[in-house]
Order: sequence, then C-alpha cells, then structure tokens
Amino acid sequence: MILSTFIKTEFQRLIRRWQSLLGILLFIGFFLVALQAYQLDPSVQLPKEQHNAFFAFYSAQGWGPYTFLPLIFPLIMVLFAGDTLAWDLKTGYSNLVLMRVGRRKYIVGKLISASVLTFLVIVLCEFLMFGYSLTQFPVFSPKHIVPGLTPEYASDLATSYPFLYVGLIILNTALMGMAFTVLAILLSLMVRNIVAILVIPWVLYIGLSFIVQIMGIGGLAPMRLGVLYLVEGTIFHPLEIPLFWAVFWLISLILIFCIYNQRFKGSVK
Amino acid sequence: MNPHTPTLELTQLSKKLGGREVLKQVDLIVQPGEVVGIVGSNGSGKTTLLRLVTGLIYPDRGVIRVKGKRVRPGLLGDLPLSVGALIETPSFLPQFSGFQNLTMLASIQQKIDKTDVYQVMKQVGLDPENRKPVRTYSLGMRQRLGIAQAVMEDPCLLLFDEPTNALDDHGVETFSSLLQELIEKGASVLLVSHVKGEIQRFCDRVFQIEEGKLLSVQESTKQKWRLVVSSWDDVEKLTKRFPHLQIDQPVNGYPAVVCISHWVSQAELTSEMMQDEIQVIEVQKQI
Repeated sequence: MILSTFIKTEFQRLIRRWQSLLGILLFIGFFLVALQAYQLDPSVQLPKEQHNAFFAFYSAQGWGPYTFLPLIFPLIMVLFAGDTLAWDLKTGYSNLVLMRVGRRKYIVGKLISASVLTFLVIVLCEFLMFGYSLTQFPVFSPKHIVPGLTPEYASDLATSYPFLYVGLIILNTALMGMAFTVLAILLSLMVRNIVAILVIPWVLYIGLSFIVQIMGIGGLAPMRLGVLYLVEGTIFHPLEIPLFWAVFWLISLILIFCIYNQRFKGSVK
Repeated sequence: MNPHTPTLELTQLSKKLGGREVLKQVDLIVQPGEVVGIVGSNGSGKTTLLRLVTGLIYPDRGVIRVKGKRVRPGLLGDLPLSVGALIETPSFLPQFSGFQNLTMLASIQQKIDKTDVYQVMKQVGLDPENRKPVRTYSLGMRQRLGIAQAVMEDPCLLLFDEPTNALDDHGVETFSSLLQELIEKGASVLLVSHVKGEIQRFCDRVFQIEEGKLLSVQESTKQKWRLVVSSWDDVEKLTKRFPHLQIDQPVNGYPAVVCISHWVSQAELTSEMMQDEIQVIEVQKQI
C-alpha cells in the first residue's frame, strides 16, 4: 500500500519538475527541427522509398544527416527523472521520506517511478512525433527491401508491418531512456554534483562509442545500439537491441541495490 | 499489541563515530505519554541518539524497539514508521512550496489529507497559501515547516532536536503550545534542548549524556493513582484528560482506573476532579 502511494507521489513530483518539462520540450523541439529539416532540404531529391512519414520518423530518430538527436539522446533522457535521488540526497529530503516509507520501499519506489516515467514520456513524445510526421508526409511504406534505401535493422518487419516497426523503434528508444535514467540514479550514489550526474551518462555514451570503435568492436558502441542500428542494423537480431538495453537497465538496478545497501551499512549521515 | 507497551525501548545501545564511542551501553524506556529531556554538551551524542531512534543510522551494539517493534538495519530491515522527527535544520525540496512539500510527504502514508496539512501549517504560524518555494524561506520559517512535518501525522513518538532554534519569540510560544497540546493528547516525546526553561517546563524526566553514558538528572515527578469513580461517563471524561489511562478491576461495581499525573496530594486531585465534574469514590496513590 505504502509503496504504491509512494510511487504515485513520486510520479506527481517528477511531472511537476521544471527539469522534466525542459526534457520534454527539448525532446519534442529537436524532433520537430529534424522533421522540418527533412521536409525542407531542397538539395536532395528523395527516392520514393524514403519520401514518406515512416522514413521521416526514422530520419529524425537517427537515420541520415538531418538530426542532432542521436548525439544528445542521453542528455535529454536523464532530465525526466535521472536526478531524482540526487536531489533527495543533496537536500536531505530523503530522510523525511525514509521515515515514512522505509528503506527498501524507498529505493524500489524511486527506481520504479523514475523508470516508468521515463519510459512513458519517451513513448508519448515519440508517438506524438510519429503522428505529426503522418500529417506532414505521405503515408506510404515500401513493400520490398531496397538495400541502402530501407532500414537494415529488422528489415522484414519494416517492410511488412511498418506501424509495428515504428512501435519497435519507440520501444528500443524508451528502454534506452530507462537504462540511462537508472544509470544516473546509480551515479547519484557515488557523485554529489547534480550536473555531473546528468552529464556523465552522455559522456559515457559518446566516449565509449569512440573507444569501442577504435578497439574494433563497434557493434557494442552505445551510439550504435541506441540509434545508429537503423542504418547499420544488419549485424543485429531484432531482439538484440531491446534486450541489450533491458539487461543494461537490470544490471544497473542490481548495482544500485548493492551500493545502496552498502551505503546505509556504513552511513553516519 | 498491548496498548501499554513502552513507546521506545533502548537496550545496551552503543555507537562509535569517527573512532570515538559516542554512546556507551545506553538503556532508556519511554512510556506512552511521557516526555523525556536529553541534555548534554555539544558533541556529546544527543543528536546521534535521536538519529539512531529514527533508524537512519545503526547502532554498533544494542537493540531499539519502537512500540515493541525492533528497528532492524539494512535494506531488508525495518524503520519505525510511526516516528515524527525534527533533527537539526530540516530539509525540504527547494523548488516546491511548503504546502506542496508537506502534502507530498503526507500522501505517502495517507494518514492525513490536504485539509489537515493546511491546518497544521496554520498552527505553526505558516501561510499554507504562500506559493513561494522553500528556497526563499527564512531559517525560522523552515524550522516551523520542520515542526509541522514532524507532528502532522500524529506519530506515537516525537523526536525534537533543538526545536526552537532560529524561532522568534512568537515562534517559541507557538511551539510551546503545540507541544503542550501533543502531550495532552498522549504523545511520547524525546526532547533535546539547550533551553533549560523548555526542558523544565515539559519534561517528566531528564537525562544528561556524559562521556557516552546516559545519566538521570531529574526523576519523574509524576505518580501513579488509582481512582474509583461513580460511572463510565466519568471514565470517559478521564480518558479525554489521560489518553493512556488503564482500566482496572471494578470495585463493588464501580469502574476503576489507573492514571499517571503530577498531582502531589489527594486534595489537589480531588479539587481537579470536582472542577471536571468527575465523582471520585475512592483514591489510592500507587507505589
């Protein structure tokens, strides 16, 4: 009972934060800019396979040169809820909550509310943006795979069931958002500076992408697993992407439980 | 649960901080409705004792029980959820107003609603309709908000650490009357204060922490009295005054109760009972 009311309270609190609102505005703003850029670029005569609402959506999501989103996804995603624990610990507000909810329910509630909120906000924003692109571009999807022109990741699904495919892309993005949010919460247990907590996931996302590329294992680059799989997706099984982010999220959760428990064992705060 | 279970029991409690043993084998029992004062020099361990009771830090040795339930450390342990505390400077979410902060906290346990939060804010002298975020609050306003969050859910045990810090005269008076009201309602209180007047005015017993030991400096002036009254209406009247009174075996069909009070003599007791229109048939001071 207390856990569900605490999650509800956390939800209300997260929705009312200016950081969450800023995250939503940035997410939608960058998406709209990318869709507009795709529509207005006069230098490119788009082939029929790509001049449609589906491809406009893939493009804004990370395909092609019209979007900044793939570069800054983690930076925006952690704004929704990634710093929630950091604020509690910084202000000491966590003590007031702990005395009402208990330690175990507190951390479980935090993780559930932050993960679910991030997931829902991303799904909602992406569906909104896909709906917008349906109104701005022809609703057409190529029926056959055309190398170089149709998505390489789960290409059969993309051509046979394009709406379902959009759903899969949105699911992948939302899972990535959950993973980065929980990573930021994990960092909150180790770092005090809230700006650092928000920026480090992004630095890791960019930095590790370069490092693994140099090491010759580019398939594991976070940026590729995050968005570029749309372009270079032949190396991935359709389930590998969502599975990767789900496992990333789960491992972060386990680490949080371990560190959180350890922290309280030795805490004198 | 037995209603006469002590509100708080500390058994052989020890805690080391920074290599120094701040508390050494501390034993303390706080009964329902009792107000216990803790005094001691700076750094003597008063605040640590309160933090241990909240469960936010763990003892190295010893047992803490709140309403009979053991406070267990760790992620899988248990914190006492019926404790209200104001320990040092209270902390809130700076971007939300005082009312929003309190309603968020209150909505977790759902013991009280927005109307109650509104009332308690008024009671501590804060304007619930003030939309300004807490970050703009003065230290005194934060302290009042801290007092409000501690008392708002009617906890069975209240922990106050220097509650009148940063309060102006009016704030001190407001706190005093609020505390008096809570005591009359039967709350148990652990009060840490440097203000002698506060300790003397409210506390039934006073302890001093010296070199980690809890030493009694003032024994309770309260005594146990057994009263036989003429009717159950009288018992009801008494219950309002003494929420923790015990019902005893009836005497010749008349109800009997045991209560704890500051009455020094039977005359004082009888006079108060007459004022409250309670007909006492028999009085006995208990050892």
